[in-house]
Amino acid sequence: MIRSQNTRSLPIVHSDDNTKYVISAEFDNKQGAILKYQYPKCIPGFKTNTQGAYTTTEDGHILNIASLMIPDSVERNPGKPDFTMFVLYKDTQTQEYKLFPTVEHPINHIDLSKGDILSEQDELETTSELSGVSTLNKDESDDTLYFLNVVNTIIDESNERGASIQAIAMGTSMRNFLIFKPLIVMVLHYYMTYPREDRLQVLIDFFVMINSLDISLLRTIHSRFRLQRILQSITDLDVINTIFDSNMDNYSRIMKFDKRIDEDSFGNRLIIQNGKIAQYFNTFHPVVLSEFLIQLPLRANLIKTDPIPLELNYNNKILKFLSLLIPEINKLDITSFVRKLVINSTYFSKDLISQFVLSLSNLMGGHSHGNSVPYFKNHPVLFFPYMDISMVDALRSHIEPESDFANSFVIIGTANPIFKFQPDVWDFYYDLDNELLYNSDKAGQEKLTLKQELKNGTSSFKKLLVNPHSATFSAILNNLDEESTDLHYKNRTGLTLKFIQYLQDGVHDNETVKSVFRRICILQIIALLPTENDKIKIIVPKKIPNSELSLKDEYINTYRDFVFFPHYFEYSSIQMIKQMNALVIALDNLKTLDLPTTSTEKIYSEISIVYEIIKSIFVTICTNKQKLDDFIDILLNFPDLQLSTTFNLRRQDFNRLDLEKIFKSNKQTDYDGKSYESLGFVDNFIKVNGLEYIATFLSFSVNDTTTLFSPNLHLKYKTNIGRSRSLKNIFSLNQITSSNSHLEYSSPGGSPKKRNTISNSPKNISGGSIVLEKRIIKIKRVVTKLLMKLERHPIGPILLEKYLSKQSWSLFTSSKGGIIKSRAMMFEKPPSKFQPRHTTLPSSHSRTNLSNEIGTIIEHPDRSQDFSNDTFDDSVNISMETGISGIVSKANKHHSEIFYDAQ
Amino acid sequence: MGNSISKTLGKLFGSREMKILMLGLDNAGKTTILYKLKLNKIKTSTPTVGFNVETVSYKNVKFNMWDVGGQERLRPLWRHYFPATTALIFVIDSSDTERLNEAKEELYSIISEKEMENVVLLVWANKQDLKNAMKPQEVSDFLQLSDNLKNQLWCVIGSNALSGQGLLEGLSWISNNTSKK
Repeated sequence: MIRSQNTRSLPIVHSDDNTKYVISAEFDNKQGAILKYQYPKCIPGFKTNTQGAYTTTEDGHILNIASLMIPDSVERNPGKPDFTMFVLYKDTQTQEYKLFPTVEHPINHIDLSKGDILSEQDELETTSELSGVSTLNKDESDDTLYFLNVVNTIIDESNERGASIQAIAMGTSMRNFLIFKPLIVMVLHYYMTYPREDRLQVLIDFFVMINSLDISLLRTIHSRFRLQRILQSITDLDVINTIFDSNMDNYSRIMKFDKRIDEDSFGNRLIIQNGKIAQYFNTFHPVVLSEFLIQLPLRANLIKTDPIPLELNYNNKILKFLSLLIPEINKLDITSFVRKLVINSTYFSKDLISQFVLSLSNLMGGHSHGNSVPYFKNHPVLFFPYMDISMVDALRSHIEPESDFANSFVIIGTANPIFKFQPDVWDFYYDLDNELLYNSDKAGQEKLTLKQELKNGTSSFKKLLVNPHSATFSAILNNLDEESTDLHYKNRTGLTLKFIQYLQDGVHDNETVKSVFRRICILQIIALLPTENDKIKIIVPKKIPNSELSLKDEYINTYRDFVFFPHYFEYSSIQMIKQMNALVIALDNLKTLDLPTTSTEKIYSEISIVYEIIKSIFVTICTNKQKLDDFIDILLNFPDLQLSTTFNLRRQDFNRLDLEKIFKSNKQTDYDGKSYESLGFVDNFIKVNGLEYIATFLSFSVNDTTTLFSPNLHLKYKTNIGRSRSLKNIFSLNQITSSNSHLEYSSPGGSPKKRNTISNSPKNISGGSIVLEKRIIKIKRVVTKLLMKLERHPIGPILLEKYLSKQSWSLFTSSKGGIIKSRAMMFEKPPSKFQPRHTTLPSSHSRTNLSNEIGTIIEHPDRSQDFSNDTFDDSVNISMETGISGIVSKANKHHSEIFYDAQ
Repeated sequence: MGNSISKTLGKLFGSREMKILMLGLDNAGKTTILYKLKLNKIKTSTPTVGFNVETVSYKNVKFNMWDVGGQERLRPLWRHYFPATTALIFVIDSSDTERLNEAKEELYSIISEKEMENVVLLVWANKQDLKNAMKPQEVSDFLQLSDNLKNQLWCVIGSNALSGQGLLEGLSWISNNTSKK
């Protein structure tokens, strides 16, 4: 271990260090890249000797960490610092760090035996959003260390080879490690220009300097990943501006910090402004580093834009790569789905290469939990932002057929085209400089016809000859119709690929790109939702045999579009997506009714579906705060269903379709009155409709459905409704035949199965109308309560104000006023004969909240009874059995029946 | 696709393309040679971290020349550059007599690899401009190639990277002694 011999006193370094290690390396003219110093101690696993530090893999390969710090060809740009990034994984058995993760890591946080959709209980246990240190420790533990390395070459006449090449790196568990970039560059400058004898002290100063800040506020805010997902989902600048108001009222409330805070716990000055935090190094006193450094604050965004926040713009490099890769993945057999990608550039900086790989990691949901991403069949995805050729043998061993990572998806960044000559370690080699993708399966490549190459975009000729949107291009592709279905399927352009074209054409920013991808993900999940018969497969993942594909695997294998958001595959998210899907379809179905000529029963049945869905959503989000967060995330990203209802997203080839034209022909205006033309196609696609979907029933009138906002679906959608599996269930409502009929239906997407007892007949218009009116009032009441629940979320008022139409906002405000008034009156009432018996029962915090939420007193210890009795049964009652809440008290049923008798 | 058309056109017009691997101890002058051939300029001398790769065209032949750093820690990595190599150029600092034996050992270590048994070998006895530089014949005798390389084409040519002396001669020899398929 190389430790400072300096006797000068050092400030106290706190245990939860912002950086765990700082290391330095240099290029030795005789030996090559060597590690020079490690501070405060050697990284466990990296032996040191006079020549630097090595780690040895289990199969004997020696890995030199310095080769990652002094990257290839760095000498070509003297005076221009460059960055590399690499990750070290802790072996939990040996407690040593390694460049390749050990087999324990991929399953650290998810038990494979349970399948990949977490059960509700699992989800609560594994992803509950704790505050402060606990969450930090979980999500940003020392198990994975991210190294940010800066390297530079300076012309040095005193050096016998004319140049000095040095690097310093810091290892941290923080995923937003790029915030240290400006600082580490300056430190390297001092490191390289100071006399050799002072260089170790420069490193020590740097280490102490970074750790002299208490970054726990930022880390805590970033660790609240559900809130961060909501913030990431907001693309409207005016909403962002409202959140980050100049008075800090909103975002101090949303992010839960004292807006008066002006220093951290160590006494450093701290400024929070415009969504950014700046921390100054007031308490740091350098030994050799310049005082100039401490005048500069460490700046960071309060919104964590990605699992690993990066600076790279997806447009155009990432999207270009995806446009080439996705067609190739599409062709793979399921058995050979595991792929190794090498991304190479000799022209671009290593900084860009590293960030390119990490961007791909982000798009696959990488590093959101644990060290590596569980992907197809829960095999991990391994990312190596920068890799040197010296590691190729170790890589080969790591991914060989018998190894633990044989089935892993591997993505490697490199600056050495010699990787292209090692085709056994890659399936796809991407030449970033020339935007060319190579497939190691040369035999397959030779079979490609020009037409296919043009379609797949793998040929550089595409750039030269054909505009993919041109008539010529379409004409060539028309001929492909004659090919086999399988080939057609494998060569199809899926929704993601189609949208990538639009995103590239429009040169959209990262937030828009991700918004589009999130909506596509939800749309594609909806298209995979199981029928009632195989619903059990989703709800009870533990029963899935290992050989069977889970929903996540089915998704990955069906769409093969690389981009993936793991959190949408969590149990509760799937349920919410199903509920929202069912709601939108039910609302649209309701809108199609010609009310004056429709029987009361029919209307009653249709609105009852809406009621059941809204109620089940309310029950879901009242369960705990995490569910509410997840629901808001889904609301903000819930797409227009036109695509999923018009096309079979599993098999549709979008290549020849002009989605822009289709959308334009079916959109006139939307909820905020803006015409479709005022926004571009992509901007329209990412508009936030979810909240209005919830609120839209508030405007329902039995005399007029034209006021009812719902997604504007075109005729093809209507014709497809009849074919839709889930909608057939809705249409079964038409089978109402006579009075007092018992109606059973399964609402779409696994929403509650219920039995309605309706006592009125079409002839009994008067009585039916009363029931109907009461039903409508009841639904509006539940909708209002649901919106009130959303409004109570710290960010809720801002979202409701922005994303509800004026009409819905007005109706909501008015309805809310009524509820608040009635609550007040209820509490003023004398006790009734139905007064709860167990008013003094102890209740959990969440239950107490819920109780407060619904404005009633807990009557039964069972939570679901609380919902059914108190929340929904306060004005109008019908007998019902719900599939989701599952339990309705007997007493309640009797009460309902008595009510109906009274009708 | 673009590549294959280019190859077809190359065949039609008699041009060839080959991968050349240029190795040698550190500070032998490999990078200076590469950029003298490529740019006809002397690039500021800095050690090569990893590799340089440039395409040099000479007499209808495209030489994709890989110059790999010669530092001790980089030498074990040379073997990764062997695949698809047509010719090996080994550069020796003729004035560094102290390390000549080290260079010889490295050279034999390379050509004893199975992947390299069919490549042609050109040795550039570089830095001929220096007073104490060994002559090409002396270098050749020291390397004992005639005794040990019975089944492989080889050649030792004196060179001076600064002036370009011997460089084109070397490329010409490679061009003339490699398959025209």
